Parts: sequence; structure tokens; C-alpha cells
Amino acid sequence: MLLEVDNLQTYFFTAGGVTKAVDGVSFALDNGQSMALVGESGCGKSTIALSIIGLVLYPGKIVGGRVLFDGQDLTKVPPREMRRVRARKMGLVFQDPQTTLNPAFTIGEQVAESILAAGGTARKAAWDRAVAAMEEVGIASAAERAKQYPHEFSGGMRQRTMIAAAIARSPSLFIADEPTTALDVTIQAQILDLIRRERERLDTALLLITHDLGIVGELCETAAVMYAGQLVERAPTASLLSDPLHPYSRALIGCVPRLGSRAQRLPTVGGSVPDLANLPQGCRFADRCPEAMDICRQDMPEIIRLENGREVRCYLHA
Amino acid sequence: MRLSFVSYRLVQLLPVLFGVALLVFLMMHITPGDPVELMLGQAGHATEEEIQALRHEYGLDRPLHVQFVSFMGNAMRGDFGTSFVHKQPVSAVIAARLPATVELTAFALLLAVAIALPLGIISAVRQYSFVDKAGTLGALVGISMPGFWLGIVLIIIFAVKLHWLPVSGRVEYGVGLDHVTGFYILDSILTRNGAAFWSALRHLALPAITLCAAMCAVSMRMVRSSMLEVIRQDYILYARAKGLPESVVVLKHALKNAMLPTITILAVQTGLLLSGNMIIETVFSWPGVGRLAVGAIEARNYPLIQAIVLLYALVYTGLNFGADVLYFVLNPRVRTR
Amino acid sequence: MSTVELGLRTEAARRPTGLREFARSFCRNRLAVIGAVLILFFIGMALAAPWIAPHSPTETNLDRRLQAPFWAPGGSYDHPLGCDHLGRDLISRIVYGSRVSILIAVVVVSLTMLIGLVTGLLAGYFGGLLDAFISRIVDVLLAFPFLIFALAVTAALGPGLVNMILALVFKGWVEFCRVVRAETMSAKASDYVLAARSVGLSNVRILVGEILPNVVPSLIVLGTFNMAVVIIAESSLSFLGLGVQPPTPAWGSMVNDGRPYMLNAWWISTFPGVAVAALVLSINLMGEGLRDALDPRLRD
Repeated sequence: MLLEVDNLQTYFFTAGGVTKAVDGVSFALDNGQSMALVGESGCGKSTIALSIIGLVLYPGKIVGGRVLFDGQDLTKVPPREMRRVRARKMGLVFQDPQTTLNPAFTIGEQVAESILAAGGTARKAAWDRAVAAMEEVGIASAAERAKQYPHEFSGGMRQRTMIAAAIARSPSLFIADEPTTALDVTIQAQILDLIRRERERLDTALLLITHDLGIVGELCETAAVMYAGQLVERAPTASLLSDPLHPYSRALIGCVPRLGSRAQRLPTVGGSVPDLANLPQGCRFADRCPEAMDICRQDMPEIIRLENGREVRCYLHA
Repeated sequence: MRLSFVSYRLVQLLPVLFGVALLVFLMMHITPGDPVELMLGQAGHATEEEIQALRHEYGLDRPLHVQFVSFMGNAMRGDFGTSFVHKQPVSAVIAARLPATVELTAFALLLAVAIALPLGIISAVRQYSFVDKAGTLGALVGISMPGFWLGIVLIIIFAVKLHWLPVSGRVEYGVGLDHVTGFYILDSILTRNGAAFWSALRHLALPAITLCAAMCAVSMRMVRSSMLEVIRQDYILYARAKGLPESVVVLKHALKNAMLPTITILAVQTGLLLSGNMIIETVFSWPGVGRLAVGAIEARNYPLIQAIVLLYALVYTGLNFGADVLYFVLNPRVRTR
Repeated sequence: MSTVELGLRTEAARRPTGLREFARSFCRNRLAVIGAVLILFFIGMALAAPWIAPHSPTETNLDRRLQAPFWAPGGSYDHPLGCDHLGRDLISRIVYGSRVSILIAVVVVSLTMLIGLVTGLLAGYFGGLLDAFISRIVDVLLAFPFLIFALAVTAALGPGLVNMILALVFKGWVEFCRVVRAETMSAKASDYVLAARSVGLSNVRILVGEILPNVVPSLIVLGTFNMAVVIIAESSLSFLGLGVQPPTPAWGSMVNDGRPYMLNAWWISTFPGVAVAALVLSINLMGEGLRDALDPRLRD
């Protein structure tokens, strides 16, 4: 098993209280597999990504659980080892390529940097590999463009650059956090294609984090839904999209408008997300759940494993 | 594009410079009390004729706007008249003392940067740590202490009580030094005069420390806040996520972006060092332009005061202008347009 | 955006506003509170000078020339901080000296704030020729370092309290004008001003009612820090003999008085300077607290 997240808890300690951004999340991802973490903003999915790579910043802290990656518990390794893991075995693509690339250095330098960080390559060779990676992701005249600065690239090109930096060292795990959110529609499709292609070529595992259900089906075999810091459902993507079990998942998927439907109004889910510093006792979705029962409000439901391999956190399926 | 930007800003500067010259001129000429009478009054009684003759010699009997025009004309050629007290051309009087001031300012600047830069970086990287809190408080204390007082206290501690460092002057009386550039430190190195080098250094120490205190404090906070803002950026997170060692992240990625606004602020701060110069030079009897200015004011030596004030204003404006240009030139976002 | 927004609402972010929030936020900053208390102490000292000073600040007594502070040989509790070269009690002079510094600071900052506020509002709001005219003046005045300008004015007009105030005010208003102008210009372009104008409110109403309240917080912070600058400038000028003239006790000139006696009577220069540093430090501390409390965004 390449990546095993076991009951991960990441809390933020602020003056206003303790925000339980990630509260007991568990899942596993094997070599070459792909999984999506779906949820709206603030549900903790980005925090999970940061927890895995060990970059949760003050005032946040991993307070419990384990992150087992390639045999090591990343929550316990020393910083130097963590850096080595990041450099050699993980490739990251973040959301907003505009702010994620350093405006003071050229594109080529930043891609080459990630190659150099993995070690074992000389400067010149790293630059050549960087240019090659840029060509691989579809940047034309890569050799010249590598000498340009981020502000001279379009959004799509910048995202391609980040993907280039990620694939250049053939990692065993991609983590992509909202890779297409900041891009135009047409570019989105291209980037998704690119990610899928590279993943297949290198046989890399993929953890995709997104709030956009539309792209989940394209890229991932498995999908997991998050709500208020917890996983509420996990299933093969096709099954999830066609037959969601958790009321929240149902609401989410129901919200996606379908072409050809004649609905006048888009369905919404009433109410709002609970304050992560002030969580209710029982199921966190109970307030907004159309099928809530008494037990839902009293006791937190555990994750229930169904026969077909799916997981749900809901009393309806107990 | 770059050149036209620079020339555009230069052109914008001209009316300001004109206004500065006008203001300086007016200030010196609207004074109550006749400078000539003051001058002669010190030498004893003078006849009306002598007063008129001297006024004519200094051109003070012409209408104001005529005086201004000739003032500007002469100023462009570097002629600022004759000092009442020294009986020499003002430009020569100032030039003789310029190296002392420049040397002191340069040292204070170097010292300030050498202390403020690492301290600011550490404070930002280890925010809320002891170093950070102590540094911030220290910076506040630094800008709260008036320069004249700090200088005197340092003299009392290090010169009077401990006898480690000298009280005043640039170099010990009796230590011979050949003047090549006028910068004693440089001269002593060039002429391989070890005794003079150490003497000059010891004399430079206290004034430079006093002068740099306020600037150091401000710069440190500037570096800190600049770094803090940069460190919060996404590209720093990304750099860490790539697996780069922390030192590289801080010193390469963060610093390069933080330096840009800091350098420009530093340029402006240097201008403020000029103000401090006057006080510090007076306290330490440092033979520079600042002390010259103070003496000139006491003696109502108007041509000298005029020239010095103009000089200071020009240098300050020049520094601000240079800071603007520097920011523009160094900013990669604008450079390649 | 093509992605379908999931139809879920999230809680809007809250921001502290209002007097109570400000007070609470300020009081949480211990250093700022200490600063405020110290300032009150100095003000109290200045106001109550005739009653709390043990001796007259100007009475000379050559018997007590250069008397040491009470813990040093030759000192007495009668003159706890010693006496100066004319036998005047140091602590009384320091107490009375606070009057000068605080008075000048208050007067200068009030005047500069007022002038700067009015000119900044006018220049920023009405723009055009008025703005160009004011901005040119501001640029010219900004070309001088503070002390240089003050020195030039004192050279022209002669030393003295009034002239020094004139010099400080004449140079100081440009700082305020610049900030107020910038804030006015950005406020003018904002939505709420646009709304006010579309409703037909008069310019004066808009300036006073909409723009002014938004400018006030930065003005307060700037004014506080400006007080510190003015006190240092005033004491520097007094040190050079260009400010308040003897026999009025002023901290700066007291430090200067002690210069010939650094060797044998270090207290004459040291203690008045401590007073300046203490007052300025407390102002700076309070200013930092004010800034952090009034606008959390400005904080690190």
C-alpha cells in the first residue's frame, strides 16, 4: 500500500477556539491508483493534502493519526527526511498557478529546481530535463520559454509548468489540489487530459482534491466525499455518481445540473456548514439532512463498510 | 521603455527642485535683522558707508528677484558665494568637510544593514519567538532614543568610564596621515598606516553606532514585515512542497522578493541619516558638513546655510528618485515589458 | 466559471468594528497599555508640576553645583537626581521640562493634523488644479529632511519657542496631507461614495459624513507616531540651542548643558534624556497598539 491515512486529526488552535479541520479521516491509496477527495471549501480537504506532505502551518497541527507512505509514518519522520520524501516521491500541483510560482525567478529555474531537489542531477542536466518536461506537457518552444518569467505565461501554461515540475522526477504520488479551478473552461479540459496522460504514462498514484464533481469522473477510479472534516462516503466513482448513498452526497450530485433536464430552479441544500470550532454532538450533517433521525443528532455515526467495498458514515445504511 | 520612464520621472523632478531652491532662497532672505549688520556688528562699530559697501559687495542691495536669478545662475555653476565666517568660497568650505560626513554616513549605513538584515530575517522566520519579540522591542527602543542623548550616553560609558574609545574627533592628535581621498579609513589602508587605521576606526566607532541606531531599528522592522508578507505567499508553500531545504526557501525564494521594497525604503532612510548627521557630528565634534551647518546657523552665515540646506535637499531628493528608479529596474514584472 | 457552484452557503467572515471591539483588542496588548499608562503619567506630571516638583526649576544655588544623585557620594535625598552646573535641582527641572515637550507636541500635532486633514481632503476629493497646486507644495516640502528644514527656519527666524513650533508645523503637515489625500482618493472611488453622490448628497456632506470617518483611524495612528517624532525633533533643536531658550527648562537643552561635565557629572545629561526616551517609547508603544487594534489588516 503506497499511502495509508489512518485516523488523521489536524486541528487549528486559534484565539477563537480549536478548529477541527480534519477529524479522524482514514483512506488508502495503492500504487497507480487514483482517488478524488470531494467537498466544498472549508471541509478540510486541502488540509488533508497539507497534512500528508507535512506542511501544515501554525496555528495548525497534526494532533493524531498516522500517514503511512511507502512504509514510513510521515507524521513522525524528521524534517530532513520529510523533505527528501517530498522531493523524490511526491509531485504536487496546486490551485492557483499565478500565486504559486515565484515571480522573481524564471520558469525554467523553478522546474529545474524541483529536479535538483530530488538529488543526483547536475545543474546543466537538470535544466535539460526541465526543458524536456516542459515539452512533454505541451509547452511550445520550451527552450526559449524556459527563460521567461511567470508573468509572461498564461494561466494554462503556468499550470502546465507546475505539472512539468511534478512529473519531471517521476514521483510515485501526485497530489493535485484544485488543479483546474482557476482556469478557463477550454484550458481545463486540456489540463485534465494532460494529467491523465502523464499519470498513465508514469503509472503514478493520484490524489485529486476538488469541489468540482465534473472532473472527478474523468480522472479518478475512486471518490471520497468530505463534510466538516470527516469522510462521509467512499466508493468507486461510477457507483458514487450514479447511486450516492449518503444524503450529503446525494444533495451534491443532485445539485449538478444536467443537460436536457427541464428543472426551473437548481436544487440547493438549505442551512450552512457547522462551525468547525463548535461542532454538534451527533452527525454533523444532521441539521440539514432531510432524512435525519433522532439517533443522528445524538450519536456520531461510524464509518460502515458495505459488502461491495463502499463506505458510508450514515445510520440509514447501518 | 525603461529609459523613457527614467527621463519622465526626471522631468517631473525639475519643478520640485526649482521650488526647493526658491524656498531655500526665500527663507534666507526674509530674516529679520540684516546679515551684514550682524556680521559687522561683531567686528565693532561700522560706518554707514562700510555697511553699504559690504551690502553692495554681497549684492544684497538689489531687488529680491534679481538676487534670486543670480543665485540660481551661480548655483548651477557651483558658486554659492563666500562664507561670511571663513572668508572662503562656500563650495570649498563644504567640499573640505564632505569626506568626513560621507565616511561616517557610509559606515553607519553598512553597520545598520549588517545588523538589520539578519535580525529582520530571523525575526520573520521565527515569528513570535524570543528573538522576534526582543528584536521588535529593541527596535522600538532604538527609534525612541534621541540621537544626541544616545551619543552622550555612549561617550560616558565607553570613553569616560571605560576608556575604551575616544571622546571626539576623527583621529588621534599626533598620528600623521597622508590624505589621499579624505576618507581616513581608506587613506590609512592605501598608505599602509596601521596606527592611523586603528585610530581612525576607534574614532569612527561611537559616532557610527549612534547614527546607525535609529536607521537600524527602522530597517529591521522593514525587513521583518517585508519577509513576513512574502513568507505567507503561495509560492513559498510551493517551494517547500518541492522538497527544498528551508534555508534555500528563505534565503533564495523569500529574500529575493522581500528585498525589493526593502531596498527602496532603505534608500529613503539613508536620507534621514542626513538629518541625524548634524546632531551626531555636533556631539562627537566630528569635522563634517553637519557640524558646519550647526555652526553656520549660530553665526548667521547665510550663504553657507543656504548652500548646505540646498545640498541636503538635493541629496535627499536624489536618493528618493534613485529608490524609485531602482524599484522599477529591479522589478522583473516590469523589466521585461 | 464553468464549475457548478454547489448550492451551499457558507458563513460570512466577521470583522471587528466598533468602539468596544477596539477597546478590547487594544487592552489585550500589554505593552500598548503600559505605554498609555506611562503617557498619562507624564501628562499628569506636566500638569501637576508646580505641586510635585520638590524645588524651583530655575533657582540657582552655587553651593550645590554638580551635586551627585542620592546613591552616589555627596548626594542627598533632598535632590534625588542631583543638581546641574548652576546648582538647580535636576528632578524639578525634568518635571517642568515635561511641560515644554508635551505642550509643543500637542500644539504641533494638532495644527499639523488639522492642516493636513483639510488640505488632503480637498486635494484628494476635488482633484484638478487644486490637487496639482497642493501636491507640488507637498513635493517641495517633502524634499527636505525634517531636521534640516527646521534648522533652516530657525536660522531664518531666530531661535525660540514660537519659531520652533512654526518650523515644525510648516514641515509636518505634508505627512498628514499625503496620507489623507491617498485615502480620500481611494474612498472617492468606492461604492458607498458613489451611492451617496447618486443620491444627491452635497460634497460637504459626503466629505464629512462618508469619507472622513474612514480616514480618521489612519489619522489617529499617524498622529500618535508623529507626536513621538515631534518630541524628538523638539528636544534635538533644544539641544542645539535653537529651541526653547533658557532659563525655561527643556529636556534637550538640559542634555546640552551637561556636555562639558560628562567627565565628572554624567547625571546632568543622562536623566533628562531618559525622560525623553521614556516618553517617546511609551508613545510609540501606544501607537503600535492603536494601529493593531484599529486595523488588524495592518498587523503582521
